[in-house]
Amino acid sequence: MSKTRAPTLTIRQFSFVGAAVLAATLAHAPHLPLAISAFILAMVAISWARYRRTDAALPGWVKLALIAAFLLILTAEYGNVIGREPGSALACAMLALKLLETRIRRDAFAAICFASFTLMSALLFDTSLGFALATFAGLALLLAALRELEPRPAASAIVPNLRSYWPPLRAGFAALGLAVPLALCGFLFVPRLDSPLWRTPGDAGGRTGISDTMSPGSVQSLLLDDSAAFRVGFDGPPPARAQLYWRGPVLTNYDGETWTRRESGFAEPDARAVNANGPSIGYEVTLEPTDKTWLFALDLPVDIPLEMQRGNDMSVIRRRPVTELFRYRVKSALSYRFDSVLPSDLRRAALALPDDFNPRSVAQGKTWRSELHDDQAIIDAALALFHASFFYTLSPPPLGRDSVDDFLFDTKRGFCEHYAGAFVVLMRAAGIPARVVTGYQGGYFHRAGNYLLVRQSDAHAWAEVWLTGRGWVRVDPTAAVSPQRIELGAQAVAFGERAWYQSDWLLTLRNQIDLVNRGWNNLIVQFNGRRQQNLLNPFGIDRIDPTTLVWLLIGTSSLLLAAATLWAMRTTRRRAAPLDAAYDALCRKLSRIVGPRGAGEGPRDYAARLRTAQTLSDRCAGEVQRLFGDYVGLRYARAFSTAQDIAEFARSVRRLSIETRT
Amino acid sequence: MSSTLTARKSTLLQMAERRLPALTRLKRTESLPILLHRRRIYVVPSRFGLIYSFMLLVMLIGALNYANNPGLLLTCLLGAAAYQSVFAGFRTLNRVELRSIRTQPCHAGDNLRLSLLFASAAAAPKRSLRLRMENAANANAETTPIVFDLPGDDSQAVETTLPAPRRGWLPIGRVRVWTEYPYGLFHVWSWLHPDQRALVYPRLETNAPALPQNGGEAQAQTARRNGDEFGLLREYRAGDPCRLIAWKASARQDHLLVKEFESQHSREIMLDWHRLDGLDDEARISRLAAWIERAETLQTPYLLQLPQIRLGPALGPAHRHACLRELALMPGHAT
Repeated sequence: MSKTRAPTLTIRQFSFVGAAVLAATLAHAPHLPLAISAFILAMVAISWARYRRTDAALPGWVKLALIAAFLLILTAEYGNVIGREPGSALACAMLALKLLETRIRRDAFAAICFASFTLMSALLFDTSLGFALATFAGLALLLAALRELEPRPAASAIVPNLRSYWPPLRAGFAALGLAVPLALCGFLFVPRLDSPLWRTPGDAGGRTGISDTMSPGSVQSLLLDDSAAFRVGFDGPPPARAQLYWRGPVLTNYDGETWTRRESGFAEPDARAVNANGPSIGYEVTLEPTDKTWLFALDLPVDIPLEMQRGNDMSVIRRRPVTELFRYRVKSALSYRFDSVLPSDLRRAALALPDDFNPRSVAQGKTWRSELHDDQAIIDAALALFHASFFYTLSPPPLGRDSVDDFLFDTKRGFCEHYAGAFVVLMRAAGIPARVVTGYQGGYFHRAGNYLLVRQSDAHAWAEVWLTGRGWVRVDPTAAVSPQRIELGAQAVAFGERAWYQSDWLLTLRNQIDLVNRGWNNLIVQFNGRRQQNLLNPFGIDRIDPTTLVWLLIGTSSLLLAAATLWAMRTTRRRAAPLDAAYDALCRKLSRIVGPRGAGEGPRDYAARLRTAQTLSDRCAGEVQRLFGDYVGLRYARAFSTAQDIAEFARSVRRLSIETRT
Repeated sequence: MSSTLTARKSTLLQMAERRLPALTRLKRTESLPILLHRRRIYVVPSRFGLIYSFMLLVMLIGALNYANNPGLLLTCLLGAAAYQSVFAGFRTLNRVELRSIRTQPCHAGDNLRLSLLFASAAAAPKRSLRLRMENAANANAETTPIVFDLPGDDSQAVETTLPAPRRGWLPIGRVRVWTEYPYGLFHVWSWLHPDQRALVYPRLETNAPALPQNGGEAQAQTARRNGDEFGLLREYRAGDPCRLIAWKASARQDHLLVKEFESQHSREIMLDWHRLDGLDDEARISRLAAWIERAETLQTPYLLQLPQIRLGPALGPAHRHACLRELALMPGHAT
């Protein structure tokens, strides 16, 4: 038996498949290196251009060469092919190569199948609402491509214009819309895994956020980044803006250029180290993925969850890096006293300055110490210095080797990290233990959503000094220069240095829109196993175990499918075609005489039965036979009877009066 | 004992006929029109559907493993859209009606051309329906199916062919109608078995000898003379009346020419079963059929003499059909 050759795809079908593949690979473009993205996009473009010209099969050596070339690029970029990032790059490349050899329907199916997977895996790198919506639009494209792969009659040619590409896409969106209820069932009730089945190495990527080092210019890009860092829901009213210091890594070590964390900083602090004055405030933080282990809490965290640790510098860390949206609950004391007694090693570390760096600053500190004697007076002198002649800007002039000297005595302009770093150097030179604290300051309080949105641009650095009898005290030298920085935020202060898309009204608008993002994060991204178990709490069911979840899944989806089945099987009662209606009327009239027409009884048979029954009067019988003849003629002799003929037939049927033989 | 079994079996069959008509209708022919409805439409996942399900499962496990809820939502959306396509597929085939079948008789050995008139009782147009004639004679099962669309509330003639290996009645046989619309994930199909048959004319003898000239009857000769249409000139033969001699034309020749008048009856030929001695029945049928076709092309009236019937003399499609039909239905062929 000879199998007929499968027909090759039309260029229209190929374009749809190509677009689906393009969507799936583009979804990965943001996190792939430029060389790999370029390789993949070039593959897709070449496939399409080639298919326009020929649908001949691609020679095998070309495929092998392309695969080899790609593996070379991949190892050059990543060094290996294992892990989430190289794996996704490999998947994209394979998909693009599949498109290159796609010729028949089966290839196209394989490509779309794999494109679905690739599209899904892109969500592992970005879970934001906008990106998710973009991938859902990609799904509609996939469905449109599948629909387009269905064979068409040879005769029906589609007008090849751009508009003809829209109907299948629209159908794809409609199908997705209809799929929402069933999809939500699945989403709500598919039991979540307690622990991952596997983990790929190198899952941590380079995300923006506060780092645990600080050198001149390191937070500069952060201050211009409008993406969300975390969101906070307070149990009570939010604290005043000036109190919103979100403590991150505490930097004690300084090598003249870079501030780093102290190695021994994670010893469990002495329980007596912190004395909270006044009530503590409870809140819940939803942290965007940082790929780092440290978390952020209001100065000063007093009560943290068990799975988290608090260092002796009061920074909070977690054992695993935060690779996905992470939610935690903390209590903080806004008024506190901590480390009333400073351990000697800590004192040493908080006073250390590198030799041969910043001689003028060190001299200044020593001068203050000899002139002023009092710690508080020295601090005030430093702040007064900043206040007098310094200027806050997000684009400071470059600094030389002795960066603090250059900043303090020459350029005199900079932003938080300059002020914090310089202040700590001055304090240490004056013999006051001091360190840099990084984190965020402020945030936008969303009234409608009753939560605080903290953006990357709220990144901040301030100083802590240790004073006898008072412990560590927060000093924000930036506030001395630019009080608005604390009151309004970094961007509001740096007005005029922002791009057009960071203008005030747009920022306000984006702050408002952030409510949607928060909803998305809350309802979808954060829907973990624990919340799934508590899903039916409002109905008085405490915890749902996985078996019940499966039953719920089966039950709800069965209900939905049953509804869909009813819809599919519904038969709308429609008006019969005029000819059928007239014929039915005729048969109804006659059914009184010889009984109804049988289900399988044709017009001729029925007419014959009428003839043999001989119950009708001669005139009427003749008329009836003529009508049946007309009907047969109208129904079967012509493919399309004219409306006029049918109307005439219907009139005759109406006029017919049944006369029986007397 | 056996009687109760038989009774039970017949009860079962009746029930099956009532509940699952499609199963029994596979064997039984039905009269047109045939309406497809939910009791005779079947659905299975296609091979691609199975592969796609596997891919969805992989996506699901991947999303769960990384606790990636947006990915899970995307997988659920895609899965729900894919599985719900079964309803669209069912609705495509549901309420499709085979109204009538028109056939054009052909000769044995040719392909019978059929026109199946499908109608849709639904308002929405139906797309990508496919059909294949599953007649037992149709050996080549791998032939590409015929694809057709159905406009909403309207009918559509679908042209197809059926190999006709032998003369006589050819049952249309089973028609498989299916669709994988919209995404190729589900195979939705049904069987149609219309009780229609098509007439297949006998095979034409290849290189049949020329038409039997000179039917030889005296009456035909006289009839020819009585004709009044001018036909052609022929050589004078002894006995031709003088008034028929074409004097002007003869003057240019060295012999006499006679005008021959033609009438409907004048040149009719006799195709006689009994004169074809020495041939077996099938060969006779083939030759007579070939002669009929030739006579039709030459527009020569002919008379068909068969053992049981005598047709004609006449000319034209109706006569041709009557003659070929008689030949096609001659007994003797194992049909």
